[in-house]
Amino acid sequence: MSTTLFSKRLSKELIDLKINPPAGIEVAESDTFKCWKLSLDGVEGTLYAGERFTLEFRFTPNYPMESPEVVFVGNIPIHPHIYSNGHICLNVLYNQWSPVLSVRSVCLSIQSMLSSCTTKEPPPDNNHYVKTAKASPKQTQWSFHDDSV
Amino acid sequence: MEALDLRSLLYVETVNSNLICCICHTPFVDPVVIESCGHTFCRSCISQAITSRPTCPVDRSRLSDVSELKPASKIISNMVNELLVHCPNNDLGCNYQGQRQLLNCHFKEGCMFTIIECCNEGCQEAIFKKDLTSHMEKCRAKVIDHEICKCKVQLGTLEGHCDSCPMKHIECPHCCTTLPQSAIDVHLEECPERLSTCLYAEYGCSWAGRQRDLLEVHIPSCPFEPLKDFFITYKQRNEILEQDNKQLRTTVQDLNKTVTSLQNQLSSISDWLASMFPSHFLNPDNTITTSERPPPLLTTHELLLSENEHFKNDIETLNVNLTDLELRQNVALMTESLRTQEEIQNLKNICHSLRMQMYYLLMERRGDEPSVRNVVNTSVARSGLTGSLVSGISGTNGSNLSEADVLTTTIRPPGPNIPSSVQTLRKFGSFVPDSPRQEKL
Repeated sequence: MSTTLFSKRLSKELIDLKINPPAGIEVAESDTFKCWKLSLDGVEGTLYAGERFTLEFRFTPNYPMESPEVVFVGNIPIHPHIYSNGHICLNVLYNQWSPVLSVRSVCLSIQSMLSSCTTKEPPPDNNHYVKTAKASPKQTQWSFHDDSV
Repeated sequence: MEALDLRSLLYVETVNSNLICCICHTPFVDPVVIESCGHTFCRSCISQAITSRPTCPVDRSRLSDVSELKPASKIISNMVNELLVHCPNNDLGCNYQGQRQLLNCHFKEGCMFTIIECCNEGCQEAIFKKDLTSHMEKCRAKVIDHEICKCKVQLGTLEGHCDSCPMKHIECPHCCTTLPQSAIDVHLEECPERLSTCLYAEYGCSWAGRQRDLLEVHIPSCPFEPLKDFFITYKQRNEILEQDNKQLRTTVQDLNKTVTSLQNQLSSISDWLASMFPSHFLNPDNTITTSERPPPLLTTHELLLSENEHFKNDIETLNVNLTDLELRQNVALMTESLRTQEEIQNLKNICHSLRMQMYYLLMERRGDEPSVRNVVNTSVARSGLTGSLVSGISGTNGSNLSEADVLTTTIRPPGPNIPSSVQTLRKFGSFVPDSPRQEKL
């Protein structure tokens, strides 16, 4: 049941993203239901204007009941909540995930997180985290303190 | 037929987003509402979601129990149930559109594009429901009644059945009557018009004709009829002989096999022995086993043997020579001894004659001539001293003789008187047959 829900839901999302893409977001790679790549453009009038980043989504067969694994790859934005290994500190990707969220809503959340940034600087504990972090950000114990974004 | 999955349906019109479940992103299927917050989901979606996290997926309000899920209001279920949908067989060609709640009925019963299996045993072909009637007419597995024999036949095997149907009528090729196929074999055997040959064709009768003439006309006149017992006996005998022959042939074959295997064994054994005692097996003529292998080439052993043979021959020749020589020597010895004997005899005779002469002369000197017997007796008495001079001689004759010998050596015999003395001596020959010889030896 969950497998059919997983594939039906993802195919619907993909069709929706391709037919009706949100501004600055584009599906770059979606060959399988395991891993997608989406490009994310910095919004005009923000610190990241003119920059293009790539987000990698990894889905488990439990999606949408379980959150996807979302990281930046390639050009990683300098942001107080984004580590230089691409891991993103965003609660909806971890403990605040809900099955009503989708690829589109996650992309929009990250876009808004970038847009609301005031100073381009890495997280304060970046060096330590990058040295000790596991490959998947879902294995990190996150503590969310900044509600401003 | 599996139950229809309402989430995969294709909706005719764009559905109002308020009727779409935000978990599966399709119009609600069996919608339920969370009583506390009022959010609506499909029953299966929310049930799945709350197993991983017991909150409302939309506002994250706490959800303590499944019992908080209530069926959505009638108006919502009616609105989703009445949504127009395409038949799932749309891509196969079904153009049906209808309310979602009626689709199940259409799909299971009305849709002509449902794929079903032919119900005939042995067909199982997948066909559209709409094609069922046309398929049934030509389905090869369809069972029909055969028009002649009235038995049940599958359409696909009808052609083969027509040929083998026992009720099929066949015309006898001999008598032109028509019979069912099941009876034709029996009929063919006994058809009176059938061409047949004589019962004794195997013995050489060349008659051929209709079967009805065979027993009535031909057999009484057949030249082989009176001889049939003879033929039968000989046939049986022939068969027995053939069997015997076969048995013998197999026996011979078996024996041949045995011989071959024995030969193999023999050669292997002699090989083995030859490796153990090479000196004994170099010349096969001398071996204990009678190996059939060709004898090895000239060997030292053979050389030795031939030399041995040579020596043997030489020894034999020498033996023969030796015997010959012995014989010859014996003969020579014999002749020589005979000759010597003769000579001795002569000498003896001469001696005797001389002795007689001497005796005669002595007697003459005394004055009278005594008888021979007296002489002997007196001589014995007188010559006691001289007789002891000759050792190994005893008896009167011996003494007499020794005296004579002594006399002979001292007295030269007179030549002119010999003939008379010899004659006298002959009288006494019987007295001294071998003594001289004994003396000599």
